[in-house]
Amino acid sequence: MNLFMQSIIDGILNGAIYAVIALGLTLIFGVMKIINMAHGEFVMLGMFSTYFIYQYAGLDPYLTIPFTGIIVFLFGLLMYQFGVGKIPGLTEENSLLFTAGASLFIANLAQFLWSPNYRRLDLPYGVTTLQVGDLAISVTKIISLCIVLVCVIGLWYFLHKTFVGMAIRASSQEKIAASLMGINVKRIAMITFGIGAGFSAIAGTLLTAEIAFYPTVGTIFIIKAFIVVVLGGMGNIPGAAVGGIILGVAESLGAVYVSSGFTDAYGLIIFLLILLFRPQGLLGRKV
Amino acid sequence: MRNKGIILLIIIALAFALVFPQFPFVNNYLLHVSIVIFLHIIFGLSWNLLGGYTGQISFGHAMFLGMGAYTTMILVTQYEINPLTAILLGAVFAVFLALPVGLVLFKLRGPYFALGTLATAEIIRLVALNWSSLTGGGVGILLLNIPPINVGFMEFQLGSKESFYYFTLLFTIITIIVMYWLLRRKEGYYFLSIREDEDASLALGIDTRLYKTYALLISAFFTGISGGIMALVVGIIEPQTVFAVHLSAEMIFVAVIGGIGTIMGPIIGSFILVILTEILYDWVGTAYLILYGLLLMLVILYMPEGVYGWLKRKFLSTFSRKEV
Repeated sequence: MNLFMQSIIDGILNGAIYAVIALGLTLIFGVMKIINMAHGEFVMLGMFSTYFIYQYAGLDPYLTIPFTGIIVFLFGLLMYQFGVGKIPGLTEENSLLFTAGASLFIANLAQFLWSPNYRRLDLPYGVTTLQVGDLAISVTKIISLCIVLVCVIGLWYFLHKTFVGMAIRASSQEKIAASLMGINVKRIAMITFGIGAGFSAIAGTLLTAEIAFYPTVGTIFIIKAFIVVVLGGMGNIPGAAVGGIILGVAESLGAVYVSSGFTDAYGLIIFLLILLFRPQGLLGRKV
Repeated sequence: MRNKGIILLIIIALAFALVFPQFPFVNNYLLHVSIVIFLHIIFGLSWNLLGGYTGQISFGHAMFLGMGAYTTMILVTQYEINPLTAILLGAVFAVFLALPVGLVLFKLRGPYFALGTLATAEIIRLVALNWSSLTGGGVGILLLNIPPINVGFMEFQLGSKESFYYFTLLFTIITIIVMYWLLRRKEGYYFLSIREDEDASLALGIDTRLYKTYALLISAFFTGISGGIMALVVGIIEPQTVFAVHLSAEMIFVAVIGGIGTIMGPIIGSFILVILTEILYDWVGTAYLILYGLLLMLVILYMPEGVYGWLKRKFLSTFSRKEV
């Protein structure tokens, strides 16, 4: 029973980080109806920004979040301005292929500049755990969970209470009507792309405390983010949060109770089943 | 093929391809590069049939290539079956894999289909990695000797680069002819209409799911053939190389950069990409992938019709008055 509870808690804590990655992806999909294949690279850029700031400025990884968030946000803006936004017609196929090219470009450029070596942050509190009864909970994961909650609440506030946020929601619901109301839909798409990128970078920062990372690490997270987004429903923001937790728990239960060789496959099978039988996602309305 | 100029060009290209290995300056390295180009043409055309002509972008075509490669390898190393039969059986197995994949995934459309193929290919790769008793797991299968091919009256031994060159060339020509033939038939036009507007095609009475599956099966067959040949040429396979996502990506690059939805596109794309890879690999190692990514982005932005479409606009219009 303890093992069960332990894996559930680990799953929720991991899932919270997946949720943040997926939030960015689902936000971009909601507004632009494009699937961003380069999303994993934003996570990677977040990891490396944190790494370099930690290495050269000695700043605690968690304190680098504002900087990494803003750096990758700006990167997202540039990528939209000079790439994604210029795709002819912005059709599904073209944007899929373009971002796949961007993913390859960013990951391999990073590999060329920073070497394919695995890196790891050795934090003094990296292995500290909190004992709650029989359960051991890693301190870094609790910090992550708090930051995730702040981010999600912040995003909710931003989307519902600020003008830009409401414009984002309006464009994701009905592009033409939004532009008739005087919203610059292209500018909103650019900001959304930036926010999506920034969110993934924050998730990247949180992950640096947990795992070793390398320039092509993004491929792992892009697949996880897709699973989460499809679980919650494309473009559905609360859905992404729920989907993240479900994937996290499924993975950790799978790793404990079933063979670990197939851990990744379980997520993919759930993904296929959801795509086939409930394409609007678990929380989505029937179309 | 509307005029004599193009027929003449094809005959010259074919003649050149046939005598190429006999030139004094041609060494094993050049032959190997040619074989790799031919393999790219085969799987590029196969992907293009589904992605370019039928409009169903697949991110998981490596699963068919891997299926062909593993079937061929297992038949040749464990049962000493002649390589030609093994490759054809490998292609048939790829079709067997494609059938359920198509029936299930064609419930999905557009980007959802693309994600579905990506996930399916990953699952197949994990199965190949974990089913060690059959596939050798992560170690893979090593090919030690290739049994001769017996076609009734004559025997053909695969082994030297030259033998592989002609063998692969034969399959490349067959693939090109089949694609050309298929696209001039009723089915070819159905594929195009599905790409242009799936709902309208359905309304006109085309069983879109049937014809999408049809395109997928043929695509899988030829991808499987390229996988089988690739396994024999390379001599060692493992899940990481034949089921890899980057192979699926390679098929897309070949078609998109050359010109999506054309026969010449993947052919030109194969020459450009393979030669570029060879030059850059010696020079910068795996960093050539940076250029791959950049090239794909630039083509989508500035040359959505691909290099072939661009060339056709610039130069070929002087040869042929009427465009196909």
